Amino acid sequence: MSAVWNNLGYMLGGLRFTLSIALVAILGSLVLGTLMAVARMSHRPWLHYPAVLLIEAARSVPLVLFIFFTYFMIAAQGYDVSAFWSCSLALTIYISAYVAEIVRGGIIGIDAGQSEAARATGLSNAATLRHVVLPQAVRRMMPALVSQMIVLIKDTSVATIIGIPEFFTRVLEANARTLAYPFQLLLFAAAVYFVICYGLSLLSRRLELKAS
Amino acid sequence: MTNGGVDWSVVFGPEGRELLLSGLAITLQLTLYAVVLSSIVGTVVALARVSTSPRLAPLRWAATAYTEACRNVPFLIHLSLWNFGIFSLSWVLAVTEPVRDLYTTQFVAGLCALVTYRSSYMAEIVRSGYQSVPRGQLEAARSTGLTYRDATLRVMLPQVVRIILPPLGNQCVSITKNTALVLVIGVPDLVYQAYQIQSTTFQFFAVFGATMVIFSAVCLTEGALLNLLAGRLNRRWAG
Repeated sequence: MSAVWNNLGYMLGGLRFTLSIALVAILGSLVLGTLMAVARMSHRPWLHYPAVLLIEAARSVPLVLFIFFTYFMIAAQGYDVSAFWSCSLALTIYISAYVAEIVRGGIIGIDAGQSEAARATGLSNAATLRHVVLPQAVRRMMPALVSQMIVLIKDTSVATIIGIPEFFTRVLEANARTLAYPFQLLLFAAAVYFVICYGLSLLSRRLELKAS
Repeated sequence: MTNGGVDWSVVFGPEGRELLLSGLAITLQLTLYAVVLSSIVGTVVALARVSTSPRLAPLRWAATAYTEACRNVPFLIHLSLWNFGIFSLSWVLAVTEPVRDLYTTQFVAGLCALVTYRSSYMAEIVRSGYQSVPRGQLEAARSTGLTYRDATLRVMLPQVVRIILPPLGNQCVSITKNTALVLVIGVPDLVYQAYQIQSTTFQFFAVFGATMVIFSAVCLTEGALLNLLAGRLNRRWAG
């Protein structure tokens, strides 16, 4: 266990980046994903088709490629953006596509009579969505959203390919330094991710039980 | 070439094309093997989880532990564990010698990682599919005189397959996308080759753009094929 013990502070320090990227991407993708879902369900072709294209494209491309592309694209435009923010941006857009499909599913699942009734009382389209449809849809979407967030937390480890010193990068570095203890270090990393992800899924199961 | 211009010849020229196609071949092979193997492992794990006999309780616990442990750990950790951990043990290297003669050690490690990671998802899909078929189906089939085996194969299985085909299609797409990460351990797949071309020509837009289009095409084709299969099976088993 000495390999883990000696590098413990260094490796766990990387969690700061891991969790920051995850937090930025979670908040960003909830907003962007909802907007994309609404755009996709719109009857205006100039909103509908770009949203369909973006969602389907992002869902059929590997995350690594998307992170590479964003990273080089931003650099080539001459903007001085750190790897951290370009990775957060890529992850946000990528996860938004999945969130959009979850939100769309949630909205479709709400009975059409709800929005018809709201519209009949004189609420605008936007107000109907905000005050009547979304609050009901959110509860149904929760389980799918939480499992998507778990996927996101696991996906932050991909940030290692553009050299962000997050948790997994530091584990690999510790591994490269010591070389002799791959199992100890990697199983320790696995345990850390497991605690975070499984903890989240237990929490969401609990919330579901409470809600029902 | 002008500054900032996009030069597509690095992709469509003979060299670029050859590299990308060789990468695509690796990606497709990995995907195919991983889909088949993780379906098999996933089904076995799922059947262990839905078993009801009290004697099989340890098996049930093991299957549950396997699913949760593999699902809640990033794919990159599976990949590193196989590549830096398991495939550095001398006895593993000795046992896998014949396979590693055909494919590189990294390829085999990548495949193993894909199977352990994705089979846990497969297991959950098969399990929920199995549990969503009413138990009465099996009991009714048994009471008409079918043996347990026939009832499972001819009554239960067709219904389970029909239920799980759509999520299975999603899994195929996810597996294809997961294969992209094997570049981390140096398997020369599509993304690896794209990165190589990029690092010598700096034509990132053309290279990564083309690679994304190729990936989209592969994933959309997989989705369409699975839909076609689902439609066929539905018609066949509808009567």
